[in-house]
Amino acid sequence: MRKYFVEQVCYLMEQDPQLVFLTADLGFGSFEIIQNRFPQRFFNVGIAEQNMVGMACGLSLTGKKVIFYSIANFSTLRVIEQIRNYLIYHNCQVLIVNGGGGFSYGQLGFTHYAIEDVSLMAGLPEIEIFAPFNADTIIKAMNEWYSSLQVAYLRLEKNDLAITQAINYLDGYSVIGEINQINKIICYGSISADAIATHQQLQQLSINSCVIILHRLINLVNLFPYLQTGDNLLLIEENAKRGGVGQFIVSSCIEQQIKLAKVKICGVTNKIAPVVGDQNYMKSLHGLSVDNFIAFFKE
Amino acid sequence: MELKDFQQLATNIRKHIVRAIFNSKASHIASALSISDILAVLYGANLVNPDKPQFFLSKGHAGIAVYATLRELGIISEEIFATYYMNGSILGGHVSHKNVPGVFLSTGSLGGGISVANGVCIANLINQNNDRIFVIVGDGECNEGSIWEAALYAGANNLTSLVVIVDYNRLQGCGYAENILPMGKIADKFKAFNFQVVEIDGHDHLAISNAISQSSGPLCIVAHTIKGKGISFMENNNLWHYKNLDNDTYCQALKELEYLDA
Repeated sequence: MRKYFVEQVCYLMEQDPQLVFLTADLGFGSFEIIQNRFPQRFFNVGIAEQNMVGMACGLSLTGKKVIFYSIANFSTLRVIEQIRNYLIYHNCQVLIVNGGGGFSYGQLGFTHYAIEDVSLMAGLPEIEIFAPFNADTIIKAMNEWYSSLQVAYLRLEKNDLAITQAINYLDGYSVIGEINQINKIICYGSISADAIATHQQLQQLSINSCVIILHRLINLVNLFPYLQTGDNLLLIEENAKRGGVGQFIVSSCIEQQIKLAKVKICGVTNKIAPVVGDQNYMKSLHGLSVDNFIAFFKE
Repeated sequence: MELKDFQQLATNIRKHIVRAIFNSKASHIASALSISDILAVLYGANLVNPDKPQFFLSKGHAGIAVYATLRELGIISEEIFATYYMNGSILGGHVSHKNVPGVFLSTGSLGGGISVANGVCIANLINQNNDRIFVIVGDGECNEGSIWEAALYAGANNLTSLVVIVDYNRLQGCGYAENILPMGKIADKFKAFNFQVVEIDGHDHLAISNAISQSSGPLCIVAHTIKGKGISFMENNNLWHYKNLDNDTYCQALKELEYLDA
């Protein structure tokens, strides 16, 4: 994922001399290409995220556009107040990038899990959240931010999603299968691989379903016409269930009087696991497994 | 501008502050009076262009001092200034930039101004622009770790256009700074972060002006100030960090400022 991100950063910086890139001393082995091509506009600010966000604001006040990068929760939770007060309140054209959403850094431990970032960022006003899952959606997200004149959050994960099925790119989401199926799975990020596996196994069980993979997590207005009374809706996210996208979609359905036949939100639970493990292992500890997803539709 | 003109400008700024705080029953009057002389020099000597992001008040609770300065210079109209702190006003108790001419950064949560100034300095380096960038921080505000993240960056990267002015009035929200979280010598700390440091009387207009003319590195001016300066019963009295004026204290305060006019 990072490779595609770097390529698009270089493309945009080549196009726009006002674009500046900041990193809080992360991206070793990946960002040298940006640094070498644009040495006047690449700044490793050191391990000092608060200063980095303030600098992004200052640069923006002069008309620069800024992309800044860190991993885990260091570009979000660590600096959430600076993002709110400086970037959002001052309408800064800044792209906040996290190079490790969810349990991307599973073995590195709790400090490195970005599992509340979506909830917290979604609670802020006037911000867009992008959760791309492959090269195309990274490019779309970055281009959308670039033309939006606002703050956005780009949640990258270490691994891109290898999808063999034909995929369409609609306004903020992609659909696998027929969107008019009553069994719908909504997801985002790399956990979408589990959603697709669920969809495939359901097919083998002669249960029709579709998977809606979100690229954009805030502006979902175009999605709601496809959610219908009578749907069985499974929402999957590698983020806290509490305050996550699933709860937002379900509450929106209630507001719009879409009476779902059955609904379940599968997200990271509020129980802290005292152990570490790889991304799949950590997901399974929170019930984020294909077996659990299938069980919802079989019940 | 001559020295007597700076004095007059500072007195006028203080009058606007007193009037606005009395009318609004807002707080932080003493913090605003503490920096009035510094603002008089920055704006009176045209060191700050109010059309550019060149000055940031990091200690946002003294925002009325900035509004008062801009009111005195005619950048904020009396009509707008008179709404300070009221329902529907664009002039909040902490300095706000939204639709406010001459203000580019809203602050209030302490510790952020230097980092924003660092960003402007970097932009100016990219643009080969030599504008100096000014930030006023409080001495109590220097409790915040983010101040030192930003100072480390500015010093390490030799941001020569940066001028940090510490409003060193020795008082913060709940009392004397040295009794709350002793900072030791602020000047030595900024020196250790590769700043050129000068210590001055923060109410001496000539000293402020001369200190700013130093330019061989990121500059920190430790401005020794008196919280509540200009109004005898407020000076060094931390009640006036929060307290507002009643009719009697308002009249007395104006009388003292009128005396300065004479």
